[in-house]
Amino acid sequence: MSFFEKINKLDKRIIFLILALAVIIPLIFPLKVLPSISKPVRSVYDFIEKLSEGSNCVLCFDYYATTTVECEPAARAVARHLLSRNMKIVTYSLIPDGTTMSMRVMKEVGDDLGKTYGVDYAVLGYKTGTMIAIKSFDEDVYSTFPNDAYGKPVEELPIMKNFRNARDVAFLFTVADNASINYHIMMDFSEKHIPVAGSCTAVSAPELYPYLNSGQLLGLLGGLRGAAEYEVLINHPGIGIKCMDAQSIAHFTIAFLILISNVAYFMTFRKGKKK
Amino acid sequence: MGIGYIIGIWLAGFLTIAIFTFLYKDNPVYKFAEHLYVGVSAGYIMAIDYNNILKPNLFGNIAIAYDSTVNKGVFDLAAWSYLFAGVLGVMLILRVIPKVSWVSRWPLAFMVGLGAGLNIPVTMDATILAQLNSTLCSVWLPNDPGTMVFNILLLIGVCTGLIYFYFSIEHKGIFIGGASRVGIAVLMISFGAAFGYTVMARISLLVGRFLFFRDEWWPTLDIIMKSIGIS
Repeated sequence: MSFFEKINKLDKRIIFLILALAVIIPLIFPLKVLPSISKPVRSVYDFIEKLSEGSNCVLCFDYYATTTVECEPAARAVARHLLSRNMKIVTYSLIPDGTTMSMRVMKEVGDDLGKTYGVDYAVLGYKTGTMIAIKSFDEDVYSTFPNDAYGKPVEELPIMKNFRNARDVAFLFTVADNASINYHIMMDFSEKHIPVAGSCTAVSAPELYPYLNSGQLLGLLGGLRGAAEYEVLINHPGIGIKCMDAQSIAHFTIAFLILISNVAYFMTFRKGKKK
Repeated sequence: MGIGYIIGIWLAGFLTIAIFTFLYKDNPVYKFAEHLYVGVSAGYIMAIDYNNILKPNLFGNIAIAYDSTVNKGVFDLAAWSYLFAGVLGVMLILRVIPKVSWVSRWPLAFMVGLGAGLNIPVTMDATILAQLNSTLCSVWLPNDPGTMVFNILLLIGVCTGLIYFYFSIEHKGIFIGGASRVGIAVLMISFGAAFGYTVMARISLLVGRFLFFRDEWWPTLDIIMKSIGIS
């Protein structure tokens, strides 16, 4: 059996093993290569830099626990950037897991930057109804979320005094592993003209590029790579940068495997034809 | 780092490995982890939905409506209207009883009607008109050759892609047949980009699990080893 025939009949478990090693080795011996910054990521950073201090921002946590590793680094990076620029952040979620995610991320980032709950940021929790929930939030925050995620009436939170409806929102950033970004574009950008940016899982990123081109989405952090780029911009390395070496080596391995398997296929195909 | 945390980390580690064993072959350990995941997810979603939807929206509002009507003598229509949503919800559940399953069509019709009414105008505006507007761009920009090439490619991609999906005439000849073939190529390129991003997403999840073993599981192993006197 020739080399190419062996490649064609390679047990898929060997491929899994190669891929596992391609991920594990760079995690043990990191190369520490920083990613270059793409235009959609820089747009988000530049927009936040230009926002005036104390602006009201909405951060939506629309991802499930299963995609935490892909979505949370972006949420942390953007929350850190907003809070470090003294913006006021109100978070809410269109999916059940979002409440837990937002409570954890906001507490950790807020505590790290010495920010106070209720004054600098607030977590409103989960609301069902996707587009109806967004519409309701845009029209009246108080009636949509009478209490925050901790059960405290929102009118008692100092941050909520100047935060009543969509007119008070200067910027909305959504971290989603589903179609939430599309909903926010439809309801917040098209209807209420709120600047919308987002972070999504890498699977969803290609679907969102047309919105970038049309200007409906001012910026996009696509998957873990987008988060890593943002971490470079805010000069605060986190999970995104930690994962980049493993991600790059794994991509290179997959590309190499695709290439060699195609070559092997065509070589054995030609050999068979000659016979 | 408490004992509860260490048990949680080890349980997460065990379940991760149990799921990974499927890569070798299907086995009872994988099946156990899979069923546990489905069960825990369903239970978690039920609890979250009860506490975040049913309790505050339905029971909470009906309690407010009852209190204002009985104790204050004021009929709170807004609060009572939640009862209507509750009745619709019960009607939807009747689908599981074959004899009265037809009742579930009414709330379904209500939801479809409401969804369509809410969706059509915004979808039309955000995904059709705005996208159409951004596609209608100038293809003659001699001062900006980069944008000009991009706009020409965009125009070719959109037109040939649309021709490929135009099934009323046969895709033959130089114009329709050729454009259709270019359309396929454009679609293939977009599928390639989507596949690349999908690979990135899946690898991210894998990296996440290995990172968990490195940053969370490994330190607990160190603690256990030290506590039993092995360093």
